[in-house]
This record gives sequence, structure tokens and C-alpha cells, in this order.
Amino acid sequence: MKTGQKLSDTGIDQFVEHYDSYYSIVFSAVYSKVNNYHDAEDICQEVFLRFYFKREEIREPRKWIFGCLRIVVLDYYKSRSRSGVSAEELFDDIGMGYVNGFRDARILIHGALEEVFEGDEEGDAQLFELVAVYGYSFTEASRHLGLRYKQARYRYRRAAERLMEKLRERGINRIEDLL
Amino acid sequence: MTEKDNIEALLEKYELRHPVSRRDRARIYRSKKRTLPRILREGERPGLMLRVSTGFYYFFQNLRLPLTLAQARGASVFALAVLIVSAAAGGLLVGSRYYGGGVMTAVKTEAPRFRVLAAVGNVRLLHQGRETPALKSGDLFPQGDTLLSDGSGSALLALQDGSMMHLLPGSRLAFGGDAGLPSFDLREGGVLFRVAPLKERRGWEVHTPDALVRVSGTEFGVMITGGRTAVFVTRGSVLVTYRETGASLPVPEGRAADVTGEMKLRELKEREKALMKGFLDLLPAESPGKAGRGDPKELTDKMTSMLEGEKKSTAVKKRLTLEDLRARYGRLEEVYLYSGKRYTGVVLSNDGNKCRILTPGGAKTVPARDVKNVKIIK
Repeated sequence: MKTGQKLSDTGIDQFVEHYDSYYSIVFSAVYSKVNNYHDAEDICQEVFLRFYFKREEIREPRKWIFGCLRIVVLDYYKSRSRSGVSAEELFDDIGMGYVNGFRDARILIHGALEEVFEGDEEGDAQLFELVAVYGYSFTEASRHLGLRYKQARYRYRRAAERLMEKLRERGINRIEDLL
Repeated sequence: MTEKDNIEALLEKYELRHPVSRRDRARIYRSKKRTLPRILREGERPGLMLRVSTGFYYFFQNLRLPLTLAQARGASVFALAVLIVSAAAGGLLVGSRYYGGGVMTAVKTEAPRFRVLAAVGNVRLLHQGRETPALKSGDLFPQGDTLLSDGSGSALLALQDGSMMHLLPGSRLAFGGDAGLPSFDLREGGVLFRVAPLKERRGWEVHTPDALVRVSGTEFGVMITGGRTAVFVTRGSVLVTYRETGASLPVPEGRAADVTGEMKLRELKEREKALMKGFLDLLPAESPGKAGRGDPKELTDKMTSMLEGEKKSTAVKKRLTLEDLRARYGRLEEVYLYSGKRYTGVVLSNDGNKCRILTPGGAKTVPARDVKNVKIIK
């Protein structure tokens, strides 16, 4: 298929939309762990390449991407014979740990965050994750996600409100109580 | 603490926060832009078009103008086309500048035009078939126009590059060619030049009915006398071509040539020397670029005295006949005065106040109210 025809495909538009939403999060998640820019870039490319090939079958992109990320990271380290790298160590964080849980308050917070991220239909969660978890400024996050600055602030507030709701459902009425 | 600070503090405390440095955040964004075309090429090295398309996609995204990739591709095709056309046009201009074409010169160089530094007597411009009033200091002589001087008219003119020209009385000179190669068509009379060294120009040509004079930075004069062209050079050299035979003769410094079938070099005549000396005296020495800054009044006075000296010497040597006048002006007129007096010659000017008549005995000026009738003799 020629480039022009390929780019006109609506499936490609949808893929690019997901790519734009998740690339920075996935990269930040990998990079914060492996601490090697080039390794992180290779892993990210592999994840999104697999996503590209499967794009028409995937119903829940976030779950799929982070599941795939886990496999790719393990494969990557196996292929490079990096001994001593434990998958549990690598995935034991909010960015990648969808299936892992934590104890006590950490479990509560993690669960609340997961629900916020998974229940997100407006795309607020990616913005929230970049800002709150990976320390992006609103300006940077809005640039990465193709949003206006005001949109970024608004989306962050909505996601934060949802997080508070989820925490309240778990019996935590004020964040200060956990600090 | 704001809500944002609280949330960050909470995640920090439970080790759920993994800040990425500012530098790495910028690198991640670059990686994102770089990786997309590679993925769309299914892991292969992406082509130029795809890279440019994704570049445009992110460029417009940064401007908060969300485009689809297909739209970004359209924009990039358009931009590439504009770039190619601009580069081709630029290359053409630069190429023509260095390889002899005229495009760059025409764009870069202002159209050449002479400015009148001083004019004496009746010197007019023939512009689009119409004669202008007598020229004065500061008037322009652009390409395409013709300069006319009567028997008492003379003008000193300067080109933008500092080249100078002195139009002698009784001359008709058309200015043509292009910015790179000015050319002059001398139909009668004479003209003296000091041509500035070549920079933007490719040459300098003077055409006469029987000769072509090619120059490249020199001081010389061209005169038509009795239908024959004479070329005299006081500095540099010129190449004279006789039109009838195509024979060429280089005329070096300090020599002259009469354009005939023989085409021989000769010494400069006294008159030619005097003309060139008078012309060069009008110019500031060795500063052609500053020639235009001379005082017009001073120049006019110098030119007037030069013309008077020239008139005297010409009168001694040769008197104009009626046939000479007819040949030069294409007509002869009889002017009848109320007093019964009659002049035969050519009416040079009649401004309603004074009537100037050129006769074989010299130029006569009579009050216009004394003129009873003017009759053209065929």
C-alpha cells in the first residue's frame, strides 16, 4: 500500500491517536525503570509496532499496551542476557503494575488510581499520569498530548476529582489523612 | 498546599511517583516524533515523504491545529513543492549571475540610467516619441530614450556606476541594451565617454551607422563627421568593427581610427585631444563614482567656456553649408522678418520670446515678434 493511501486509512488515524496518548507515558514508565534512553526507545518502538499490527483487534488499548510492555521488557532483557533483572522489580510501580498490588494504604491508592485510569473515557488519565506520576509540567504534558494549556489544567482537575471520589469510596475523605 | 501538591506528595510518600528529568522529557518528545514514521513503515527505515508528513503532523499539533496524518501529508506535499520551486528559482538566479545570464543582474541591478550633471543650450530627450523641454541638471536619461542636442547644446551625464558621458553639440544618441551591456546608438554628432571598470556589466557598446565600438573600461570619444565615424582613445582600448566589411581594429590608448574600409590607426587630431581634455577637465580626477557630486553651476560654466572655445576653433576650420544643415537636421527653413531681412537655415528654437536660427554664417537670435513667416524648403 502506498504511503498516501495508508495515511488516509481511518484505522491509522485511530492508531496515531492512541500512540500520541500513550507513547510518553510508556516511555516515561520504561525509562524511569531501565534508566537507559536507547533501551527505553527500542522497547517503546517494539510495543507500539506490535500495537500497530494488532490495532484492529484491540478493544482496550491501555490494558493491551501495558500487558504488551511487560512481555517486551522481559523479552528484551532475556535477549540481552541481563541476569539479575527481575520482572517483579521492573513492574512494581504504578506506571506498569496493572496486575500487581501493594499493601495497606499503597494498595488503596493504587486501586483508586487504576480505576481512574481504566474508567477514563475522555483522555484525562494520561494527562494526570504524566503530571502527577512522571512530573511533567502542564505545558509539557499539553505539548505531548496535543492539548491546549487550559485544557490540560481542566483535565487534570477532573481526573483529580475522580481520584478523590475513588479514595472516598475507600473511606479516605482527605488526602492529608494519608500524608 | 494545592490539590496538585497534595496528590504529588501522596504519590511521593508511597513511592508511586517516578519523575522524569526536564531534559529527558524533551528527549521523549523527540523520540515520539522520530518513532512514529518508523512504526508506520512497520519497523523499516521511513521514506522522506513519511518523515516530512509526520513532521508536519507534529508541527501543526504544536500550533494546536489538529490535522490527520493524511492532511499533514497534503500540507507537506504542498510545502515540498514550494520549496523545490523556490530552490529552482534561486538556483536559476544564482546560476545566471555566475554563468552569464541576465536574470540575476536584472533582479539585483537597478536599470541603468544617466543623470544630467550639467546641460548647456538646447538638449532634449526624445521619450516615447515626444520631445521633452530642454534638460537641466538632475534630469534623467533612462534606457530606451534618445538624447538630442542642437548646434549649441551639450550635456554632461553620469551613470550610477560612475561612468561619464559628454554629449557634443548637434548629436543624436539613443541609449539601449540591458543592465549588463549598455549600448548606445549614435546617429549624428559626437559623444565622449569615461567608462567605469566592469563590475556588474559585461561590456559597453556604441553603434554608429557604419561602425560598432566595443569597450571594457576606458576613456574615448566617437564622432560622426560627414557620415564617417572616427574613434579616438585616451585611455584603455576599444575594438572598432566596420559594419560593411566586418573588419575589426583594436584602438589602443593615445590612438584614433577613422572607420573606413582601410581601418588604419592614426594619431589623435588636435580637436579630438582638445575635446577629450575638456571632457576630462570636467570630471573629478580618478573618482568616477563621485563625479555626480560636482557643483552643477561650476560644471555648466566650464562646459560653456569649452563650447565657446570649440565653436571658435570649428568656425576657423570649417563653416557649415546649407547641405550640412539639411543633412544634420533633415530640413531647411527660410525665416522672413518684418524688416525684410531673410535667414536661410534651421530654426533651432522659438519660445515665443526669442527665435534661434542656425545658418551657415552661425547661430542667429532674433526677437520672436520680428519674425513674419517661416517657410520650409524641401
